[in-house]
Amino acid sequence: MLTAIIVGALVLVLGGFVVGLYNGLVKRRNEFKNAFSQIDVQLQRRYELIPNLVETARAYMEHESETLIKVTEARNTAEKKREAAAANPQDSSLVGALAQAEAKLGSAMGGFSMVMENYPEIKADQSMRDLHDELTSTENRVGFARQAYSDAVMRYNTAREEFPSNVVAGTFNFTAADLFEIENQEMRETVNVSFKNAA
Amino acid sequence: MYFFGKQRSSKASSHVFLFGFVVAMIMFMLVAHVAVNAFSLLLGYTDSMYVSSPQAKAIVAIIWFAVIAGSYFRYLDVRKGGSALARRFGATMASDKGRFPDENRLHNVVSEMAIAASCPRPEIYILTNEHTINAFVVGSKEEDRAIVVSQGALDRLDREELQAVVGHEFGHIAHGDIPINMRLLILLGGLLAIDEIGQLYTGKDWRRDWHIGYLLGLPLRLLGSVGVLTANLIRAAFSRQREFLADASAVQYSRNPLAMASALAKVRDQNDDEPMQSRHSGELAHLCFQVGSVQTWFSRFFSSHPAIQKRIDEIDPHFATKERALQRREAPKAEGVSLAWQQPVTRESGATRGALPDSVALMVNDTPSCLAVLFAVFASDAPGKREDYYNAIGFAYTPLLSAQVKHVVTSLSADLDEHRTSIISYATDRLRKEVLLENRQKLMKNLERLLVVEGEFDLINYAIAQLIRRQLDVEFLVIDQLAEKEGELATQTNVKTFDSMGAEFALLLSLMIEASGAPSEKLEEYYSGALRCYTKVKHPRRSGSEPGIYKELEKAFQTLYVQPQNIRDAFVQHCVEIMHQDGHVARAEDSVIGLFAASLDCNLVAA
Repeated sequence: MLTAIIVGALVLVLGGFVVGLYNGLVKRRNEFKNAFSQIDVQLQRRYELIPNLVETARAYMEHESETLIKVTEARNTAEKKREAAAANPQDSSLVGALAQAEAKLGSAMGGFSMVMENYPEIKADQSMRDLHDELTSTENRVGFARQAYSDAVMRYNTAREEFPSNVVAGTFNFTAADLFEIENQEMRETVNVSFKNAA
Repeated sequence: MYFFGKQRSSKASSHVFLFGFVVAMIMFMLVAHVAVNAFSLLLGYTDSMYVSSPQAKAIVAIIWFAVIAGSYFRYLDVRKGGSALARRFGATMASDKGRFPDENRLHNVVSEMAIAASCPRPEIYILTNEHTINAFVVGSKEEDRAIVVSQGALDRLDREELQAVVGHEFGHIAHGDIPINMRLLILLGGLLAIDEIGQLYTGKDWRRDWHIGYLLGLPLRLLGSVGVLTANLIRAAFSRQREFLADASAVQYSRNPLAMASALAKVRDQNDDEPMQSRHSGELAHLCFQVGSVQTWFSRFFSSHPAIQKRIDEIDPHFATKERALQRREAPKAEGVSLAWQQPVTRESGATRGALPDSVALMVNDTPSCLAVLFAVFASDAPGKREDYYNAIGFAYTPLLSAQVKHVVTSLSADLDEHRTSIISYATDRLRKEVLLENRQKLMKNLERLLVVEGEFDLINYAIAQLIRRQLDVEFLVIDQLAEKEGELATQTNVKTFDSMGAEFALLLSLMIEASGAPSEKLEEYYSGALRCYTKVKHPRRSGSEPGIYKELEKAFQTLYVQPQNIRDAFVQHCVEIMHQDGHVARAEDSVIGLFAASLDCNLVAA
């Protein structure tokens, strides 16, 4: 009888411990997923602002349609990748593809800003200025969202790998999460080159 | 700053204090019970400590009632939503986006930090009539929270510093400090109520005549006051740890420790009498960005915030130096001080680092002559002493070397003065290639012993000897050992804070200033001026003629050598500025700066 009680108590304590670990992992996983959705929200906001910016700019720079088309195309690609990645944030290949598209869009926007420098009348336009301020702040937010995502991923991965929660993580299939980074070296280099050309 | 580690450690110690607070509360109630029982035993109402008399029960009931009622009223008070509380503190809601540039900036900063901290965005309020730099958060419920920023913070901080301050508040939110603070306040409210009930019995005026109410009122007041005092002490200790935690979190969110430190420095330098003159500041203190500077050791125990300087040191122990570097970059030639070194710098003859004259190159062409040149550098100007020096060399080495040294000194004396540095580097270059390390070590040892024996070991000769030692690649023994542990070298973990190395820097500074050849009555003034750039602590000026100064100097170099490269560079750079300040580089100055740069492993050109 006594042994049964002791064993029962032990099982209960152990079970409670495992449940605690499991819940902790779930919490961390949700945190990083939520952090990803924050990036998603801010990226979406950015992609919505860009067409407005392009439309407003078109009135001033007739001859630069190539730059504008490049921005629009990069934006559309990035938007598609974003939708795909948002549907399944744990798939690291999708996240990587989005990061690549983002980098491409970044370089297109860089070129756009350079061209804009040549048109002082654009900078004087109030609505253009508002849009540009808005875009700058949104870009900051994207940066902070990515940082928060990295922090959350780090916490989740640490929790996943630490003993004893790694046992729970292995049993219940908590897969590792990926950082929002460009892994393709080639991609990074093209970003640099395009800036050099623009300058 | 490794902010994740800092967060972990301050979180852990704050939990200890939190636990202590709860234990203290339980102890307090136990003591109250025992005291009441003992009292009734003393008065003869009961026979045993363990059996309460009806009177004792009544008193205990009063105490419990007071605690519960007090807590409840406080609960009603703090339960209100964030916006309501913010308004009660006199804050007004920030206007819509895009209306005023500074409020627009605040909107953006708060949104960005909310994302970085993964928190919902709180309402934004501004304390328009508060002109100190401050901010706090209120509202226990996640959906109704407000961040309140003082107008002073908006006016005085730049965007990055504002971001740091807002990040600090988000640190409080993210670590759940608002509910913890609320619960502590509720418990404190209970203790305070005991005191207040005691006051009902005694009356507010202490000088009134004795009456029966004192019998019950005084013990109650005593009990309440002691309880409140202890609870406040623990709460303050807890709160100080949470401030470090929030600071570390702010750095995590903004990834910008320098902005955090410079915001704190602005608070430190604002010199206002009393921040947050609101009548509720006591309750709020825990969640504020700062509570002003605390002077006495006594009040430091009760302060909810650590001293500002301590917070800056936690974030970046070398902020003072970096701040100076920043200021120099921003306003290089604005003030009258810099006028002195805008003048073209003229070097005294003997300090040129130019090319080697042909006569030297011809004469110093083999290993023995290189060796002789090194000894020749130290030959005294006085003929008698010079003769002793030759003899000593002959005694220690060979008469041949002694003769060679003599020859070098007589034929090259002008060049030795004029091109000392380049001659040394030429000779050491050769010796380094051609002589074994062991023999070079022996050479250095003998050279130094010779100088000590001959009484020629003044600061300048010491500096030259160290320069030779460095160029011969004969490292200081201790520094060798330090350099072996390369991983530990100059990492943030073993970096001392600036003030703890103040004495070492002060020593180097005073030697530097002494070497400048300024009139002796001016030395003190220059020295204190230079020291002020680094620290507020007053270190006495040292002099190169003090006995045992070299030993201290070597110790100082060891301490400073393990500091991060940029700190050492900044210091040497400052010494170069001092050197150029009078528009004239004295020979002694040149040697001393060479010594500093070599001993601190800084490149003079880079610095």
